[in-house]
Amino acid sequence: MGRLLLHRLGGLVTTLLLSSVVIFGSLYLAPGSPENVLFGSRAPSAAARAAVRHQLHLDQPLPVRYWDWLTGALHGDLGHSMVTGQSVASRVGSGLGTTLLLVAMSMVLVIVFGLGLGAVAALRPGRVDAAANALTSVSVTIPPFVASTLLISVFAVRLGWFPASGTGTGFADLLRGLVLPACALAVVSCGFLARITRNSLREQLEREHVQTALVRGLPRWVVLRDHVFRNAMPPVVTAIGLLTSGLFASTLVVESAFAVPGIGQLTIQSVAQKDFPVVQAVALLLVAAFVICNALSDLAQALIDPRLRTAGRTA
Amino acid sequence: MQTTGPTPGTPSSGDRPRAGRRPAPGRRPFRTVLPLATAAVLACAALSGCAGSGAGAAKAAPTSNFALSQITTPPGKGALSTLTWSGDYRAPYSEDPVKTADYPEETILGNVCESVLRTGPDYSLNPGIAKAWHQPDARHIVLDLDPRAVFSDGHPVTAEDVAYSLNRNLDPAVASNYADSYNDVGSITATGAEQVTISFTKDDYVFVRALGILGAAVVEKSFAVKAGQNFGSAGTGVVCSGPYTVASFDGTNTMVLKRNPRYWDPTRAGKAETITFSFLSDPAALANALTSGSLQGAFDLAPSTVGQLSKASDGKLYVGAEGSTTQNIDLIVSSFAGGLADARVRQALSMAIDRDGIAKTLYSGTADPLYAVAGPGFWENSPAKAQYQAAYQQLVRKPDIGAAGALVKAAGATGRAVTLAYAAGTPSQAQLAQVLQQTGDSIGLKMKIVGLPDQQYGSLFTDPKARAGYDSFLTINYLEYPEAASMYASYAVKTGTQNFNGYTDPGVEAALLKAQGTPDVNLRAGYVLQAQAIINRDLPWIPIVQPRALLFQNKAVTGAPLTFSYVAGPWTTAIGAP
Repeated sequence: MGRLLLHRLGGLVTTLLLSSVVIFGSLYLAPGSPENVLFGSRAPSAAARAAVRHQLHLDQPLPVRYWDWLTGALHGDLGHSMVTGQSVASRVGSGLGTTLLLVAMSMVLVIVFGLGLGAVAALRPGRVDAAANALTSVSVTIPPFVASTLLISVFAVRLGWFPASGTGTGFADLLRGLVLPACALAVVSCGFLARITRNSLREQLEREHVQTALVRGLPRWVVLRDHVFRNAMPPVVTAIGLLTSGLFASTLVVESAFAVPGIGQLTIQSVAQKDFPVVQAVALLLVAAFVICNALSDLAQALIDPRLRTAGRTA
Repeated sequence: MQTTGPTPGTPSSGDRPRAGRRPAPGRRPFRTVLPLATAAVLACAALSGCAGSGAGAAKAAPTSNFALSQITTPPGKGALSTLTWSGDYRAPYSEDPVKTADYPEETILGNVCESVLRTGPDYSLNPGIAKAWHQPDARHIVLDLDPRAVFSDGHPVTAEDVAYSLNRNLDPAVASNYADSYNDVGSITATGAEQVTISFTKDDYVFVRALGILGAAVVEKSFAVKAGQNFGSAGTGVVCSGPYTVASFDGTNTMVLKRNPRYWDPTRAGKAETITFSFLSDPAALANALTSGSLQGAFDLAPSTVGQLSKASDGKLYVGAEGSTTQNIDLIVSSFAGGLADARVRQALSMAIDRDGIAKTLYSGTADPLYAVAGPGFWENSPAKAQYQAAYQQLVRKPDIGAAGALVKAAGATGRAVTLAYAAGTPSQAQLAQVLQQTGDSIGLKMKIVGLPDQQYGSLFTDPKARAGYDSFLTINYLEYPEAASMYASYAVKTGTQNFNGYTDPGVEAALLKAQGTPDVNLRAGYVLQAQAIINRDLPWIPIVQPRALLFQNKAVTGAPLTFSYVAGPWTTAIGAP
């Protein structure tokens, strides 16, 4: 287990390092420059442009700028936003909690409804299964931006149960403001997870040892707990890991639709403005979220299945 | 008054407008639904027969619900504990008033940093930090400062502070976004304990308008010098003398202002305890925020939100009349070398555009056809309106595809390729580009339209290399105050900051130089119209439509201006409980 953890940690560091190079390089190659954003529609004098470029270190070659960023980051200094001059940590930090809470809320919804629906469909073949199937077929076709529009028009504008935009002040308001965005995010993933859960459970239910156990008269719930659910878990856990990391990317769309002050808005703006340090930080956070979610799902699998507890098997 | 014409090569350069393009990142909804009405326009543009009245029938326009003479909503009477307002499509880049001239900065920062003069809701110039001002001759303005004025930290506003603040526009290291307005300024000096004198290198009666916008905001010198490069950043901030101060700013989502307890003029103090500005880039999210009451008001609304907002029960959408803003949407000819080199081709394209159809369908009736770049929004409330209007009426034409096609043929340009760039992230621009493509094709040109990402589109305005590949590009321009001479000087004289194609004409240069040096508004209009006649023949820019003022205001508050003046003056102080 310890080796597996170490292995995963090494993978995380390598992935982050490589992605930081790729992100930095692609921003550098894309057309436009942060100082153009600052100058707006005015064409500045050459001297003024040079002064601003120097101040932002844009006049240095790419490797030097990357090295400066990297050494800073290793010392815990993520730099300052080129556009607003604020520290990157404070710009990212202010929205990070909200985004994490949003992802957590929608994952709770996904797990409760996805697992529940999948289990019911697997254990109750026939009409219930068909109904669940129809429901999941629809839900996997509703992308978050469509779900946002529907939820806003029904629950915010028509019924007025939840705010249509923003999250107000205080934790209670924040939770209330995040309900609809979390639902919008969860719809697609719920459908996927339900499908995977149903199929995985079905597969286990049809296994010979399960049938034998049932025929021999073992209590149904014991068979389900020890033989069906436990063995059906690995693909489900993998799916949960992947869906969670996918949700981080989808927050960009949903946060914009609901005007949620998370890091989605920040990401979009910073990319448009070529604000290197902020983009770097946000993009690496997304990468880290992806790697960590997958690592956690691997660890969870190792807990479920002892055969996987050697690092080599899961890497 | 000096009346000699300009020597060749030293063209007139009037007070340059903040004729800011709207940098496109604004209107970028994630779900861009092409309105059905667009199809009508497209079809119409393709069929030469349905020019004029036919296209207009595609969709009923929302009628304007306030008159041009009404300049504000009923003034607020009671105090408010909080006011929440849209800060436009993104957060300000800096709190430094001269850093960026765009909607978010110009909407918000004027309430924190007062200008030397105060622009009223009717665009009038009023005493601000200068309690009086006069021009002893065409080359000087003398400002007499109000001795009561104090900064938010309690220090008095001195002549030294005012001269320092204005001079920042001349300092290349500051890189003021308003620097071009100061091209003809020779010096700005404190000439007394409460007096500042500005001297010009050319006769200038138009510059005074620039003292009423954000570029002339007064900041505390000692604080600015000490803060250095950090001045205006979210962490350091600014010290100004306005009715509000910045309480908090997260750089991305919200900026909170609180009433300045030391504000020096009780008659103009704010009625709201705090004002929270939110920055929503998605027009649909903004419309939802307004209809659900989480935001109480917004200016500069996207046409796509009009349908939803006009049905809102918690507030009212105000739709201005023709000429209620100085905003103008134009096609900028970026080079006289390519497909649009021949003036006849430009005239033909202009002649064929179905402006009426575009205004009614693409803009849901919240825009009007525009036949001169400085259209009604620049003179609707001017004493010289009659003159301007008479000249403008001469330019109003129905689209004539047959004649336009013949003109293209006469120029030998049939089949010639013309490229047009637009901001792909702005749906209304994408639709307009499609319509123009159809128009160009219908008169025998080969129009190619290229949608650019926002950053790349933005660099068309600052980087000659970026625009080298395109014959033309779309712009949403504006000027903070209605002065046609300044609008034209920005792109039709040699030194204009928006003169991207190198256009120059001795007649235009001479007329605009005279206009700048003429104190009488009616006489000045005469010179401007001389220039306008030539500019409209040569068409360095092709005017298309002029948006109307759009304001949404919640029932719980009132007092917002109905004019475009919110980009110039401290408009929030008028807002209170009804």
